[in-house]
Amino acid sequence: MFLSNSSLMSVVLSQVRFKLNAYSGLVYSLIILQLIGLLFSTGWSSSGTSINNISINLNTSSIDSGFIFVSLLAISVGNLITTRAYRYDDFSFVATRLSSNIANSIVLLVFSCYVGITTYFSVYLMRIFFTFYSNNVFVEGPTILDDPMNSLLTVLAMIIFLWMFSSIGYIAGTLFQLHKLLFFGVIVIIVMLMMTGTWIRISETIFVENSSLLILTSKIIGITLLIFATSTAISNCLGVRT
Amino acid sequence: MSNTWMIVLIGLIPVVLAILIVLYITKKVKFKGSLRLNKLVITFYFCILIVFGVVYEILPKEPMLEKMSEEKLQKFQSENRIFEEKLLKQEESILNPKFLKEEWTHEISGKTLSLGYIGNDSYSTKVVVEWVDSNAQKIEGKVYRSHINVYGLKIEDKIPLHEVEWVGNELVIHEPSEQEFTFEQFSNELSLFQHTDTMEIRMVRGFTYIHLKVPKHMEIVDPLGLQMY
Repeated sequence: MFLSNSSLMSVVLSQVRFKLNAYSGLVYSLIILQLIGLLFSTGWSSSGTSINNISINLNTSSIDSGFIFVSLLAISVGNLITTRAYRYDDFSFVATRLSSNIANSIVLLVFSCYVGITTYFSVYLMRIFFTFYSNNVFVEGPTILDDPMNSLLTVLAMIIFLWMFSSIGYIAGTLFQLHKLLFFGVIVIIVMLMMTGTWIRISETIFVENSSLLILTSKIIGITLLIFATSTAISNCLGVRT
Repeated sequence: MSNTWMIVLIGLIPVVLAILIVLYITKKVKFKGSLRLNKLVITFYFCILIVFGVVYEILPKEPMLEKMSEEKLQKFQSENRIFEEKLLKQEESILNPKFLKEEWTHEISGKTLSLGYIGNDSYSTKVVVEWVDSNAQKIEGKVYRSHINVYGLKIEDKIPLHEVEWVGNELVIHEPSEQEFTFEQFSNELSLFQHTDTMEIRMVRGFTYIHLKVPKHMEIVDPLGLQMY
């Protein structure tokens, strides 16, 4: 019998609040990586052709390079919060492995939301810079006001992808905590699977054969939840303070 | 080592580089600011980026180069194809008048007309000859150019016309002098994971057509094969 009973939800919420404060220092890494992404995004893709002796070059700056960098950061952060130092923070609470895993997945989702939105808008930093300092001829491109629904969907897709990448880092970290050999064994199995036709077929079904970004996003949410559930199941095998 | 593996390894270099950069930054950037400062930076950074986005949207900008829709490009392709068919059938009265760029008449001496081209891409010009019943030495010519479009950009006005010059009995077509245009565009799209089934038109290749009305008693010398039948 206890003087006060705390529900799973309240434990998770207090853990989330604590972890968000504890990991707030990651913003500096994020800012640096987004700036590096912006540098790489200038002329990210370039096309050139010639017609009637006139050469025409089209340089496209997109959010893809920035997204690659923050995706790697998401994997790294997902992995980082499974390390011993960060896991020991959970002992500040009367919590279970389940509440801890749920809190971690929520923290990673919040992190992905922040990173997704800032990465999308970081391109505007470059747009404004070029508007004032470049003499090149610019091509009309769709802006948020032209197509708000598509912009919203792109931000949503970025957030969900970042969440998926962080979950990959998270499961990798959990496996590594369980047993180093197990981690490398799973990596070898995944690499071998990737070389088979079945894996290519599965990847095509998930990532390529999508009529809209919304369908792709739904699939990714499913995969991410599955990864987190697997991580939770794996972490339950861990002993106390291992 | 096979070429495929070499390509795979070279392709992996930027990925490895990016991973190293990310690992270095996440490990090394350990700025131990206070929680209050971190929260301030998080809020400020978020707000400033949103403000940049809003400012860009409402900022009065220089007129930009128009990008054409897929439907418009398909229409251009169709108009080009119909134009060529009609020109070959010599149905001059129903040719698209907006393709007509110039017309002239020229009188030549003798019975031989030569066609010449100065430039690298003689395939960009097609000469269509219509034989007419006449004893005169007069040749009527019309220069047309069909729609040109690259990457959907509205740059037809920027691409100069071929110049046509008479040197004695030779009709010399001059290719425009070399020029280079560079355009910049921004994209908010995340192209890495997107896959579109629709075939995008990257180029509408228009041609310069020279329609000649030549009396039947004359002969045409065409060493470069510019004439179209």
